Amino acid sequence: MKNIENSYVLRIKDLNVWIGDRHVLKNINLDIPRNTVFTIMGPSGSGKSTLLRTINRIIELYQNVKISGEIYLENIKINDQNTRPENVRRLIGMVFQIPNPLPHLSIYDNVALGPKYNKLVKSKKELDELVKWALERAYLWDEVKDRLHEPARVLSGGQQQRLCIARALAMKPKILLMDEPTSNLDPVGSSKIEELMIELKKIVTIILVTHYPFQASRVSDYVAFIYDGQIIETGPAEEIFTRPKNPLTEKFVTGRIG
Amino acid sequence: MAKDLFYLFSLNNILIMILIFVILFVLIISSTPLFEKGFSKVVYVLTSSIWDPVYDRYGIFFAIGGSLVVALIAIIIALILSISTAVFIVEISPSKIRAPLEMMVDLGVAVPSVVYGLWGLFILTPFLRDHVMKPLIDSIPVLKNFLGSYSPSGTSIFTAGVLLGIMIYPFATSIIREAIKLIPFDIKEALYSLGLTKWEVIKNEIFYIRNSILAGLLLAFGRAVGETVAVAMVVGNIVNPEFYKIFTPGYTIASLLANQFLNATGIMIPILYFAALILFSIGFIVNIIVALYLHRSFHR
Ligand SMILES: Nc1ncnc2c1ncn2[C@@H]1O[C@H](COP(=O)(O)OP(=O)(O)OP(=O)(O)O)[C@@H](O)[C@H]1O
Ligand SMILES: [Mg+2]
Repeated sequence: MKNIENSYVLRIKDLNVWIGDRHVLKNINLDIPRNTVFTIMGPSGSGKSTLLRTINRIIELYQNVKISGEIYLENIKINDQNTRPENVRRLIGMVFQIPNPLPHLSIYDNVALGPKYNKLVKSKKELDELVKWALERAYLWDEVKDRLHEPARVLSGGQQQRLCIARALAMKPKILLMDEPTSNLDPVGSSKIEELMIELKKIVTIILVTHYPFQASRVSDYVAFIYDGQIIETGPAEEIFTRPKNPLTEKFVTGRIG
Repeated sequence: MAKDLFYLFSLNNILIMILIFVILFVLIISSTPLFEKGFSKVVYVLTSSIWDPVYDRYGIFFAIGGSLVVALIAIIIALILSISTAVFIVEISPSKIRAPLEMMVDLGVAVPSVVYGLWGLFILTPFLRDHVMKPLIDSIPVLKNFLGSYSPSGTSIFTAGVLLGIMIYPFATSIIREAIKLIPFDIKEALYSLGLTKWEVIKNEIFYIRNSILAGLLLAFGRAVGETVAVAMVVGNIVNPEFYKIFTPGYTIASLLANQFLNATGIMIPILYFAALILFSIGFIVNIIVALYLHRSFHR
């Protein structure tokens, strides 16, 4: 029993979210195994982004949000008043749908900002090493190592998204939330990021949101299918794609809804 | 480049440029009697702080210095007040009181200078004397050497700077407030997602809008350096070569013009025009420097 508990890095119990009077997430229960790519897929408006934002508590920036249920990060409850949201966000990084590097900062400073504010390093040298490490992990180092101090906005869309990944990795998070990270990129940029995810799961658990079933099938270890705020079906990726139990899931993975 | 030229020669800008040249032309023509006295005389007027109608010797250095120091104090005061007010209104105040607060601050723009001047003279001046200048000098006497000793009435370069800062603060606040509102939500999300606290995010937002703040300051400086009525009421209007001793009374170029123009005769008239020319040029040069800086940083 103990072992099973420990193999999950994140557990979500009976989670409900209302935005205004809309019941956006309904009774979500999910256990996310460590060092995997766990994909949440579902049609537009089904609540995928809201689920990610609830996990790292970015949702608290919105007005009129009501939340019930529990979220545990390594068996510690993270969604109550005693846990400060910034402490949660330090451990759960996020990459957004539209690449959002800080355009007024340099490439270097984009990656260094988080570690600096959270005092993860003691010296400039350590910071340099951490920035390099994160950029290497995001497959970006070779492309930017000679222009670290140029503004981040000079990078291409795909490079910007990898910069955002590096920025999140520099915090050494336990979980990386990725909200449709490739939907604004061209095929080359997209496949680079897909490769990257498979590599990254060695050091961090990835929760990926997508509404492309094909992307989900290429990179996922586990999949949850969400529809209208409810988890319809969840399990190992192979099972979901080859033997979906629910007809809705089947329709989605074969591209008939979405 | 073609687009820049187009912008440069748009109708509005042409009208403004014509106006600027007309003003410059009038001021230069009116100062000519001074220029005819030779270069060394012009240098004397610029660098001397002697204002002596008996011997017809006039230097305006004290007024140039006074103007710059007053404007500098005003900008520092306005900057502190406007950033904190704008942040409070946009990021902290409950949404119910946000609109009334914004309106209150905006109303400050519409108050006439003379009203600020009267308020400054009867309320702000004694307040600063009793609660800032006196306690400071009393508790740290050595400051007297740097700040000067305050006058019994409390009028001073410092008082004028603070009053001016309060006068330009509503305008600066509205610019900064709109800039904060325009920060894209995904920038905020990016900052929060890196585990920054609310105050750390606000600090970064201020840095993000630094160019707008600078633009607001530029506009504020234009008003500050030329503001006449209110400043003339609280600055003291005393020829003060040590204008950097901010607790002492002094003059600004604008208040010098306001006070001396009606009794000016002879060479004093072109010298006052020349002072106006200097005042105009200071505003003009600062505008150009900041505009160039903004142009560069927006187009990088
Ligand atoms: N800030 C908000 N205010 C009001 N309603 C919201 C807000 N954010 C999300 N919603 C609603 O919650 C529901 C789920 O939205 P969410 O963005 O989580 O969907 P999604 O699955 O990520 O969709 P997409 O694939 O289009 O990104 C939608 O019906 C949406 O209208
Ligand atoms: Mg979404």
